Amino acid sequence: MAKNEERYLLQALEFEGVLRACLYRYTRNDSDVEELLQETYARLLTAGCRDEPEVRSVRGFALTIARNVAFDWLRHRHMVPIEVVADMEALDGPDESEPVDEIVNGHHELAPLVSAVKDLPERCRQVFTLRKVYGYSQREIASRLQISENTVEQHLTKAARRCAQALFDPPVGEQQVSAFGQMRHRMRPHADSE
Amino acid sequence: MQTASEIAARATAWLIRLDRAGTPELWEELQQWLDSHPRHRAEFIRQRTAWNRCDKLKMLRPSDGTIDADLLSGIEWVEPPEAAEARRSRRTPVRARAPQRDRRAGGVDLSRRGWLAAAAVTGLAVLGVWALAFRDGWQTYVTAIGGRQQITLSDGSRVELNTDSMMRVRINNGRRDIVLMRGEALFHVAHDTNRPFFVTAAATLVRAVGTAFSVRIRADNSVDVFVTEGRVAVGSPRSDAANEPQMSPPATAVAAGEAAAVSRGRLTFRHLSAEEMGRKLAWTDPSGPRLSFWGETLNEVVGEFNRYNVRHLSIVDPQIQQIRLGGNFRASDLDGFIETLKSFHVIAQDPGDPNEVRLIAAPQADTSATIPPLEESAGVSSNHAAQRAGDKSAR
Repeated sequence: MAKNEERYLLQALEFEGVLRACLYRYTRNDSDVEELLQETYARLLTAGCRDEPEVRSVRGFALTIARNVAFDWLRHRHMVPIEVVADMEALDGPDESEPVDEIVNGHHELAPLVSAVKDLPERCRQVFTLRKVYGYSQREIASRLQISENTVEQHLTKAARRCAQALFDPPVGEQQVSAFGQMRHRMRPHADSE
Repeated sequence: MQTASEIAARATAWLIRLDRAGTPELWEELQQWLDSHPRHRAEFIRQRTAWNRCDKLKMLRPSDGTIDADLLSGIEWVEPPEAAEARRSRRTPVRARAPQRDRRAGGVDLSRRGWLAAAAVTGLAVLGVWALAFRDGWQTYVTAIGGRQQITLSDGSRVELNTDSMMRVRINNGRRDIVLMRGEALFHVAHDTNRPFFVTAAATLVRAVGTAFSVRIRADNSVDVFVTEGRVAVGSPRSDAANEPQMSPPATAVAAGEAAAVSRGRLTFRHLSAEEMGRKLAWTDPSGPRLSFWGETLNEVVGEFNRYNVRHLSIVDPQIQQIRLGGNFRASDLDGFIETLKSFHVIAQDPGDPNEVRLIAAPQADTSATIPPLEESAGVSSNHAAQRAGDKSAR
């Protein structure tokens, strides 16, 4: 495999839910999780560019980075609650020995994706369907639906955000609870900021 | 400093602008934005990955060439009760650790949440068949790796869908159309001379009235047809009739006990002994899918096992690829198969990944085939493998 600078980040995307759960342990709110997650990804990307020995376990590596990001954040806010430090001990154990079920396999992604698209507003859903199921270009979609290309672009922008969420950060049932049960207390509404 | 959601919004806007038209100036501008902060690049990569992955939705495009912008809203994911039962009774090591989830029986509307929870319970191997009902009359059935499902169609025909398969069905007053998109299926066609039964698989068309036959698409898009009862016609669909495939002459009649293989437009035809036919259809065994070999190479045999198991076999030592072997196995019994391989001086090397089994030649001096410690294993050279091996030895 060629050394790809994006490799750690790309692998980490497959367990984004685990990273979010880890970060939530420290922030206790979703908007800060978004911030810290993005920073975690940025550091994974930077790590992938460095000329260093290959990381053995990307999952362990990514969780360590996530915790470091969370520490920096807590320190910045002069908040280092003892109990969080104590909790971290508990976090160290399960991530390697206890496989967390992940949905990374081919067509099994279709169901969450289709669900997300079904929930889109009608026009947005149609535009996205013509683009991604039928492969029409944005220009072709505009002329087919008699709308402007800018409108097509807006619809696709909304749809793309939802799909990223459906693929990497679906609202889950219990699948992460097996390993991360005690730290996953959130009931997160759809973070649809647009 | 921008907030995460502002960066995310910018990244999406970039992605869609480039999807519209990527001029050199735009690319230049994007590079500047990406370079201005690692978070910009990270978020862009994340969203680009999701956007590209959405291309999998092309699988759902109807094969008849119709365009329907509301296609996806007409899809319902339905899990038949038998499938739910099969899934519940399945035991896997992964599942044993996952929480049990009590599922409503039958006809479950699989919201994303429900679906994911279901997927979580079985790990990667979601068993059973998932049916998608399209408003245009097509129904789609999907089985996962390791899944197998009996389906009774509205005309009374029965279909057994093998592991990792996908099939569309549309039955109306004039005809019965099946499109096998992936995998393998055995059809027991209800006799109805007024409604011919068509199965399209890659570039192959099979026409039946009332017979039993299996169709399999291989990875290279070649198609195997085995006929167990009656007679079918095997040929290719006429290119001008995309909506309702018609046989383009000449078609070859294939009768019970015969097999047709279509590869790159060429059809080869042969007679099978009852025993050989039994081996080819061993996957339909009522006690669970079986694999039956008679002189196939290890390469072929491994390919067959990999169709049925998420745990993936790979052959590390090229010299063992052409070993020929025979035997009768449960398709899910990888451990039993690996045990058998010891008598062929082939052993498994534990790569530290529960979903991977690497097969190597046993050291000649010691044919009792003990598994060598990882540190001594040769041939682990790729980054990936080295990383896996490292994982293991670090524990």
